[in-house]
Amino acid sequence: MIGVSGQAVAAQVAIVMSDDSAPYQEVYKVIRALLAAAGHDVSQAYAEGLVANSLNEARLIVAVGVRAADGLSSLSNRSPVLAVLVPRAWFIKVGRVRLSDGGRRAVSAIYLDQPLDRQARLIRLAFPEARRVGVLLSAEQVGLAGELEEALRPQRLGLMHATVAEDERLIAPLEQVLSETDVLLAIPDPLIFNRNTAQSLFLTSYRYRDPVVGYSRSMTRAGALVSLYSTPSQIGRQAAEWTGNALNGATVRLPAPAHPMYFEVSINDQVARSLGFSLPSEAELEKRLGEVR
Amino acid sequence: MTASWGIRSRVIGLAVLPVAIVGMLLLFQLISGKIDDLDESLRTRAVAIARQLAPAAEYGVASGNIRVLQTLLEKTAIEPDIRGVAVFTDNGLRLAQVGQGTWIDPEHAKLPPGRIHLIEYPNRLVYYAPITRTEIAVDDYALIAIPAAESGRLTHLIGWVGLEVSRSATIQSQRDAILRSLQILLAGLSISLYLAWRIGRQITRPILALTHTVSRIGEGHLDARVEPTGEAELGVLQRGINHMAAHLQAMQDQMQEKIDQATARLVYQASHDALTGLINRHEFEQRLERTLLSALQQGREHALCYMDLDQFKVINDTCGHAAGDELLLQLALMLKGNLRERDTLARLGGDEFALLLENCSIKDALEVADIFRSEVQRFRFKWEDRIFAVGMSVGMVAINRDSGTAANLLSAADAACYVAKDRGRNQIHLYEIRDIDLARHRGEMQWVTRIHRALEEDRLRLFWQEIRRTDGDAGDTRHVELLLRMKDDDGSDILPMAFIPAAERYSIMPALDSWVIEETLRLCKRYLAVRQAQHCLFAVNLSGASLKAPTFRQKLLAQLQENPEMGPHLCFEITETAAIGNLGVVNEFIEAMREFGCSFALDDFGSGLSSFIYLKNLKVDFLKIDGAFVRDIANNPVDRSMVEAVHRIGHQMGLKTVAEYVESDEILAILRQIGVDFVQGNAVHSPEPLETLCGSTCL
Repeated sequence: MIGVSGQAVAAQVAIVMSDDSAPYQEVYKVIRALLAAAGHDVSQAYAEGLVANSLNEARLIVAVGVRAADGLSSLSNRSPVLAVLVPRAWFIKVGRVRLSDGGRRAVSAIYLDQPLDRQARLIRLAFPEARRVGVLLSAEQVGLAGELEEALRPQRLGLMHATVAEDERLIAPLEQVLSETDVLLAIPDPLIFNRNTAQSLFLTSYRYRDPVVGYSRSMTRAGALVSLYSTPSQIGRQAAEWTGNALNGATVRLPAPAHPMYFEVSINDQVARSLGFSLPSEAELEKRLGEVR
Repeated sequence: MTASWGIRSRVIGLAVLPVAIVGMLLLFQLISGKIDDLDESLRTRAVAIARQLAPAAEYGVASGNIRVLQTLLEKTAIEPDIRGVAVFTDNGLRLAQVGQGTWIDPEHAKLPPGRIHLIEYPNRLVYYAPITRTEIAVDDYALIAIPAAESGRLTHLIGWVGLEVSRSATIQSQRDAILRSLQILLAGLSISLYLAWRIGRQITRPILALTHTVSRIGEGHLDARVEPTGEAELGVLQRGINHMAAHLQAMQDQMQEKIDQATARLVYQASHDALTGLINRHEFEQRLERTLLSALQQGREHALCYMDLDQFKVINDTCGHAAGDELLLQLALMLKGNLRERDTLARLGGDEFALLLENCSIKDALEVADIFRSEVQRFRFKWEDRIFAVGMSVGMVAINRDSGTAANLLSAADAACYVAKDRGRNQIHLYEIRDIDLARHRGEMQWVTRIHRALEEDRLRLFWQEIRRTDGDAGDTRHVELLLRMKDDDGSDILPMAFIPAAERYSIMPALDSWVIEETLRLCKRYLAVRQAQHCLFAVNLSGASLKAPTFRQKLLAQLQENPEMGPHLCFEITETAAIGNLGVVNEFIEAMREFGCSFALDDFGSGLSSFIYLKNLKVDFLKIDGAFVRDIANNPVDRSMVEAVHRIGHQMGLKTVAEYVESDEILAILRQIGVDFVQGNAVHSPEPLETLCGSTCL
């Protein structure tokens, strides 16, 4: 039995990463450490060169990143898949369908995106004076406007959004939004915020003295006044917890896809000083966001 | 240049030239370095501005915010040297511009987007700096793979910044730099020139002083000296030159002294007679000129004496030249002793002296001259064991307002002297204009050559003139005087009185006499051969000079010894004057000739010295009364008395008398009345060629 169990444990969880970059490695390390402590066996693989046989033994597969999930979706493997570090919009629109393979495979996800209400609450906590929140949306995400408006309303925040058509210049709609709002909320969308557009967007917002609420530590570093996000280890921790619970049962049952449970707030003090904002500390904000929830 | 550069210029050139060259090179280097630096600095600044402006304009370009760009460009344009700045989009659209600027479209020019591009113009530089997008990470995870197409489309170039900078400031500062450097160079050169001049002067001043001194010495200023300025090489040179100049000066002084002495000697010699120390003819003529001038201009009276020794030739011939010289010397000393202060005594040559008596009337002059003459007369010249007496003939001429030239005066005095000699020597004759002797004397020199030519060309002829008895009795002896004639070029006959004086004065007489003697002897020989019937006495003249010549006498004696039969046929006519000079010799000769039967006649008696004492001492047979008395005997009782007296004395002494110059029968009658033995003259018988005497056989 020991051999069987050992063997069973050894093949129980496979972690497929999009690539070997640091964030994915960190996620993997956290999951493995936590599962290993619970007696589970963890193996790793990368999206590139992935073959079905290597995953046959796994009872559960964790896909880290979009490309890992994409890679898995093309395999005939039937083990349940937990996708982590994937944008919610992608998962709902593309990922779930592909991974579930017509219902033959159990799929769940921990989104990369923070829940909108959490973001709304952060805005409220950080900018008590704020009335209206501006958002730039690409055509693909226009649908998000409604959800946002709903999430903001409890916090007595109005939404002002502008849609940016493809190839259109960002600055003009941005200025239009900024002129009428107090805070610019950045939504993860490669067509809006990317390496190339970031500086202009930030500079424009500064000119309007509107703070940007970002979605990653990088954005805080790049010039967002405050950002709300989950770190790879926090994602890994949640994934490990979910995996552990799922493996405990006779059959593997994953919870429904959800936003990250653990999160972090970072503040760019220099930007705060430049724009004349005085915010509560990061820890304070994290605590208050957790409490409310 | 070889025109030749002075030492000062060379020294200054030596000092300034290196400074000028180094200065020019440094200046060139500095200017070029400075210009390069300025240009480089401009470029560096422009590149820096463009490089900084490009990212600064990124936002404006990306956002299309022209206002932001305008502000940015305006701030940039404040920088010096910037003419204009502009921002272009990546597709060449000009978004903003400040200042001037001539731009190209960076898109069309296809400028490389990777670096700053520079377009150069002569007076401006235009930079185009690409504006690129700055990338900023916003995602913590690379969520999705970026499609290849996407990355290709997303070029980083979003626009261009154009920057035009003006080089005019650089050019201006370049000009300023050149100008300043030139000023510094000029100032430096001026200072160098001044210093070189100062230093050069220290070097050249002594050298120039040396040069100056040397040229002065070269010009003959041997007293020029250099002032010594130091002990160095120049000092040595200066002392050397001074020493040399001193040496030269001393030598020149010595030389000058010698030259002065020699010159004085030459001057003395040129103006003085070497033998007697008296002034010579040349000097005398000059003094005479001066004296004459004072007479002509100031009307003063002077006198010129021409003095000739009477017996000098005798002493010279018998005792030799040394004796003659000694005589001259002693006489000169003696005469000098008698000179008054203002008198000038000169030896004109030979035995001729001249005396110039200034401010002296003729009366006084005659007295002075007579003192001289008498001194000479008293003087006795002693040579070996013989003692000679000499006389002096003096011709005097007055120098007054009416005098002609100095030459005229001299010749007049000479002529007067000649007259004095002619009149018997040892006397003073004052020149008179009507002196016919003068003309004769003047022709003498021509006659000398004519006589010599006549001797050579056989142009001498003998004529005969009969000397007849006054009583008309033919007698048994035919008495003929042979007269000498010279055939002139035109064939006419020249009488002896024309050329005999010259022959006497210039010692041709012995030659003439010899010719006459030889001819006479030949004639006599033939005559004797043809006509022996009648005895014939041939009378020939013998001059004093011939008588004095021993050779002549010996030759004549020798000829007679050869032909003793001719002796009785020969009669020698001698003049009183000729005899007086050597009375003893002449008497000896007469004695010797008489041995051969020769007879003698004293010719021209009455003229000249006409001393009866001599007459008494001379042993002659005939006494020929001078024609000067005979000529006027018909009209002049004195002459007649003289002739009578002479005739009577002659008869008393046992001599036969002969009257010459019997030109008329009246004279002949008177002479006959007086009782003169013989007569001769045209009234008796005119001279005829020898042919008529004895036919062609005599020739």
